[in-house]
Amino acid sequence: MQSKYKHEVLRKIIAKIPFFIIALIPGVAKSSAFTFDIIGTLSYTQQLLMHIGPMLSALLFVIAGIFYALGQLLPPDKRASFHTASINIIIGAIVVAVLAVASNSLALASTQLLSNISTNSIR
Amino acid sequence: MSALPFGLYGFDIAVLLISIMLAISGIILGLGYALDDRKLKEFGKNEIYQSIINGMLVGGLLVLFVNNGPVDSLIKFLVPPYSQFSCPSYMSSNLAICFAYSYLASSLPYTFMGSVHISLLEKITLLISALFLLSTLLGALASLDINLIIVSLNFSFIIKPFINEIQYIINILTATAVSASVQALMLVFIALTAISIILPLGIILRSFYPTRKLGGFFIALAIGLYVVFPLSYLFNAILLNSFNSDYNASSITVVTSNTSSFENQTISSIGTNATSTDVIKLENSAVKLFSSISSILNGLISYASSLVVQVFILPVFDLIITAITIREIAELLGSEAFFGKFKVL
Repeated sequence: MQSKYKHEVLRKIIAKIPFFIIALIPGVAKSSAFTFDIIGTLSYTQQLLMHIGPMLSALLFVIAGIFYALGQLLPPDKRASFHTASINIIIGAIVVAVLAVASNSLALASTQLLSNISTNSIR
Repeated sequence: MSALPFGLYGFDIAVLLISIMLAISGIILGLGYALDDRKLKEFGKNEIYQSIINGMLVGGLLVLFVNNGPVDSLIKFLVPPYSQFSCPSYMSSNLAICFAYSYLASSLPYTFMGSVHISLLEKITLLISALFLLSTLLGALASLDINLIIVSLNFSFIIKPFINEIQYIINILTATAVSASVQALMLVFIALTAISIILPLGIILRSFYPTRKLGGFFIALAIGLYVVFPLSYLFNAILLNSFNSDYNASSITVVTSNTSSFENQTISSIGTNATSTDVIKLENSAVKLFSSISSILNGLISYASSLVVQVFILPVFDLIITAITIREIAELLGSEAFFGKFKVL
């Protein structure tokens, strides 16, 4: 029951991320008070995320290392679970790093997926 | 960049948003793996899929709606040959919107399937002004009380029913004129906003999880309004072209000239000492006038009915078809669009 509540709260927080980004926009807008540089703001947010990703990834790698080291100090049954947890954290770290860094290239590639198909079919 | 359908920076904004959402989804998915949380993993994966789908949509729509792209080519292909329309420059990229505007309210004549037409609004306006003239002349005649030496004549009891009928038709025609103007304004709105505002807004809203359904609806709305709605006017015109009545304001002009000649004759009879020959001439002329008015009223009613069909009934069908298309495309994009009772269609 408590876990369900926790997930619900987490979902609500995640769903509000775009609004948080929008709320950040006035603070990071570089232009004057009367113009709204949306491209600049979005580029800034994207660059920020591209930097946060590898940092988070590095942090996760460190945590995974700590978990692995701690596991070595514990009895075999606990060690196995710590080992699994550290592997999971490493997978998470790799996913975060790859997707955060490659997000821009992936976005551009995805816009060309359908356009390539449609232009080829037109020809 | 100005040739792109998403406005000046629409494409850049869409790509940046997709990129941001991919990065956020990646972080969520990574955290899901790290915390071994199934819901976070599912949410992250779903967001990545949706972001990639969004990217594909942006690219696909860009190719489809670019100037002289597949959508424009399809519309050009559907327009019958020997057709030329006159519309404002911002409509010229979409031939269907250009035609619909010319058909409804353009001040200049247009060529459709080889024959020159004037817009519905122009037809209605000409007819209303001719009917006003006829009504005024008949009103003047009805007010005349001709007191000749041998006979006293008053046509008001014969003329008043005709005047009532004409006023009723004028009311209907005024309503059709208003409706045609409203539809033309709607087309102006569509031409100015569908691709440059509604479509990019839909793509932007579709990038975010909480507004994804709304974004899908906006994309469907833009496609429905830009492609389906104006094309339905084109099909209406093709259908109507086969049995279009050639009744127009010139038919009314015949009656108004009859009326004015009858009025002149009456006034000249009053001015002189009328003889029995004058009275007979006057009576003959009155019979001729009323028979011509009766015959023209018949045609006028059927013409007004055809205008009502063109301006009220067929556009309602067009709107229903557009609403159904929007609903279907919205469902395809993972959104929901309900239009009251049309849900059952």
